[in-house]
Amino acid sequence: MLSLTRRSLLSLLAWPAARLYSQEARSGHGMASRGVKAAPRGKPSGLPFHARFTDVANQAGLRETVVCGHPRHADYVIEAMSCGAAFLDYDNDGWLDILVLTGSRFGDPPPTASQRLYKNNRDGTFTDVTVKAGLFRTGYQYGVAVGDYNNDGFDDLFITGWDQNMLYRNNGDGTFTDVTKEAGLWNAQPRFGSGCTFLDYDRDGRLDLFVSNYVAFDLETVPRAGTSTSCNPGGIFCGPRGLRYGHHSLYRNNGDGSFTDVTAPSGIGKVEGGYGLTAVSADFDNDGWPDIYLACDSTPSLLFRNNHDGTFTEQGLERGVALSDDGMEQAGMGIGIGDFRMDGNLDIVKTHYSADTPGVYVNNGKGDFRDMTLQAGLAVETRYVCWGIAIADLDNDGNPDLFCVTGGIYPEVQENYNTPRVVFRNLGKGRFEELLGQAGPGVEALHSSRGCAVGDFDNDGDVDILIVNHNEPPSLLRNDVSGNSHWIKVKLHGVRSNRGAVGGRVTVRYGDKVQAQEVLSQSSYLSSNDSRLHFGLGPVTTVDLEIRWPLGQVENLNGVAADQLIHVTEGSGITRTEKFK
Amino acid sequence: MRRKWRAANLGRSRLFRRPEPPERRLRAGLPALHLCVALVGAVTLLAQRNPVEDAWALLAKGQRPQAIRLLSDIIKTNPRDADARLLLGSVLQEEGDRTGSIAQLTEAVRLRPRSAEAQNALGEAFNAFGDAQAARGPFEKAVALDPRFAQAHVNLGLVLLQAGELDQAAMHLDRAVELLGHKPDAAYPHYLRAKVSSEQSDVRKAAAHLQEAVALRPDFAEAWSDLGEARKTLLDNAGALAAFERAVALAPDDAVAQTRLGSQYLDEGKAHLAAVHLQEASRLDPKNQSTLYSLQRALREDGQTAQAEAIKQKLAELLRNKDKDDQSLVAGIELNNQGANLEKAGDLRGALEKYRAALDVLPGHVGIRVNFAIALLRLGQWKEGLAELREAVRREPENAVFKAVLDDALAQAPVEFGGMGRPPKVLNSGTKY
Repeated sequence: MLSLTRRSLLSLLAWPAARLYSQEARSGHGMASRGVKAAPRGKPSGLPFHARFTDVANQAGLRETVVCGHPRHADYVIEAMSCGAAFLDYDNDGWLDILVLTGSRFGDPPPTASQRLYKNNRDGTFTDVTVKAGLFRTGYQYGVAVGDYNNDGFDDLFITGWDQNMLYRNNGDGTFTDVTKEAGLWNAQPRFGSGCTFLDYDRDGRLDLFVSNYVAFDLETVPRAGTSTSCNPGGIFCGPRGLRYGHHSLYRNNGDGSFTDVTAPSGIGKVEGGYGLTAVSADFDNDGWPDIYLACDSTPSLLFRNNHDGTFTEQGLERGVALSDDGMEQAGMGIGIGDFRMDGNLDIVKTHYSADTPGVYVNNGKGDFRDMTLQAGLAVETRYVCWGIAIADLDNDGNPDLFCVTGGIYPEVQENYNTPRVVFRNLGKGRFEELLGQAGPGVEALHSSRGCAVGDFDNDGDVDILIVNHNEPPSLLRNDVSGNSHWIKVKLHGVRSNRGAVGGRVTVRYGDKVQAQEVLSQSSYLSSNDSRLHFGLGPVTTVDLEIRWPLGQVENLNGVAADQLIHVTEGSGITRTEKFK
Repeated sequence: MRRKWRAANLGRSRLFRRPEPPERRLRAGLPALHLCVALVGAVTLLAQRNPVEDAWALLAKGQRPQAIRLLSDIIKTNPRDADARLLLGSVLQEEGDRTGSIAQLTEAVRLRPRSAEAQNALGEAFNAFGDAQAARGPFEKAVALDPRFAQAHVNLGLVLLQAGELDQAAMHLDRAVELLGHKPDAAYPHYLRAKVSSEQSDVRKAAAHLQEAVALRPDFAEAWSDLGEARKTLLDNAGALAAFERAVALAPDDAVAQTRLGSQYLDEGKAHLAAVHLQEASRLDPKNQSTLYSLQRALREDGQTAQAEAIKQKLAELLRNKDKDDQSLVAGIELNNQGANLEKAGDLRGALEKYRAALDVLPGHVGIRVNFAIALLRLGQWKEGLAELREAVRREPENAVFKAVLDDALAQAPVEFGGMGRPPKVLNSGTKY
């Protein structure tokens, strides 16, 4: 009897989609895929994996559907890209709350499709407080950046969308106020905002803002799917290829609640091109100044290197993070930042379309990268369109793993529209192994997902995962880690630096390992993670930490005990600790 | 006798001609049928026929027009001379005369329906003219008529590979390998079989076939190059480097092989060596994106910063232009389609402006130019309309529709504009693309 496992069936189903896609790519439209075949898998390591993920979204109360076009078709690209989500503690009660963005539906916009803020009830459930918090807003939303732009101790929200982006100031009383216009961030012309990240690029202690735009989208000029053969024949939506570029912007924080557009003087405006999606700011060349990496769809991804004088220079091609190893454009969707080789440098993993591999860019510490996708073992997976990604130690064994979500983009033509999540376990020395059927039902479940965020919503010492699903409610994967591994979490509080310490770096030494992480305002796919940095430690019970604050001050903390959250305040060391259950 | 001929045929076929880079071969279909194949076959088939032997002798002396004339005369005299038709069809194929070649070979097949060679020749002709779909039938008949016809199995395997029917392709290529045994002739089906395995994500098997191909034919440069790629995927860097070096030594003018070798050196930190080979690749194929990308990195790592920057700029321009072409195509066609809609709705002036705008975006699109021209003519702007139509015909002289439109327009145009002033006919509305 023929026996087909779900994975093998998916593998077969992936073929027609890939072939179809290749045709689209040849016609010069759609998204770029290199049409590569998967590299052979090595022998399984046989090591047990101690993390198990279960989707608890429904019982936790995350029940609002994330609307993204019609379930069976998308009229425009604005309906297909869907959106991100965030783990944040908006009320500073020590428990992660959840923000989930949404889209809309052309011609039939659901009146209740709004971004949703879910307050953590501290018992594994959440309460939808969207309206009460003043965040109810319909329309097409894409990316979220979390950061305390006014340094009042409460995280604010910047949300990109079509046709307008929004800045929400956290009032500190459980409510937010839309301050987009008074902050100077209102766009006179409609824009397709996508990636966004807070960063203190001029190191003045105030968070500035980088915003990317995906495509120049105008309902008047972009043909609706199926109405014209000028773009994407076959009845699927038009874009991104064939549409004009979106352009990217940098706004400097004036310190009075407003921002100044410094796109031109900063050099960001010099760059022509790039269908920008996820934006990440981090210090890639270890010079103490935040750089910006922008995943671009079907065009070269961009690396804006900070020149320390208020300007940036785009260096993606020369630094080795713009194209694939063989010099081809890839459909850059999401970005994971982390130190998976454990050498103290921040590496990059970027997600792409199906029939292509993720991109693994290894940092030499000077901001020069080498594409090590094949050597890292990630070239074995080419079946899915990959979106949100996280580099996080899922099983607390001391080696940061990879998690990414997947999902089709053309519901009209893709039989494998709903696809599983993917886990790559870190075997050490820069090698990964894809886990098949070992990480629990939450990973195996089939969805068309987009953004994801990692964070410990139940404060139990591991990393849980929030996932945006296209035209479904979100998933909340509760992680239940078994075994006796240890961990530590670090929450930074800036004083001279920005209060949320965005851009602050923590380097932890444990046993014979070292691992660096930075507080990021956006990563994954248009999403924002728990700002409490989580380090799995394996058997190690004490660690040494080096903290480099965004303004450059370095603090060392030695012999810190594992299995706790430590709050570190700039200039004052550990100011509070929390033991979880 | 026939078996012996087949071996000779394979031995003198394209397998031993300098092969094109593998990608080009796969994309473009089979290279043109080489005359030597047909000639040897024809000689065998025509062993007892002096007039056709005379034609062969002329061909051997390079007197192709005379040979074609002679063969045509033979066929005129005896339309049922399948041998003459087979040879003439093959010669015409070499001459690029698709219609003549296919006609002669089709007739030869009709006259000799049980001849596997004739079927195979027809299939090769179709394939040579880029019609792999039409080639498939004759190849299938060839292997059905003679299941031991190795070359036909190879040809069919290639056509099936190109069609993505991998299992079927593998079956015929495996059969060819089996028939040919451990002879150099088996190198090419091994090479193709490796491509099937690669498509099936079985890189280890692909590497094994390529290893066999280069063992049978150590001068098979493309196989060495692909073997390097397979070894690289299998993380055998030393093996990959050795294979790439061999490929480049055998085919220094192969830009793909040079790029692969240069990139391998770059991966191994040998930037200077990498730059040398990548520069050579770039000289051979100046607009290759992969080459330029690796070259700018190699030059930078080698300390040749200014050169690296120049290559980077070239690459960036290449990438930008590609995007702009896509964007212009969509924008231009969309404007044209809006024009066509307006024209159908009776708004001829509005349509004209859309066509004009579309042509500004896509000046090379002849169809849009014709729409623009017709709109001008319909608005009575004869001089401009005729000029645009003439320009369209100049750009696409083979397009019969455009020619007919111009003839119509000239027939209707007033005498002062060089026309014949006949009563107007309704010209077609704009075409959507």
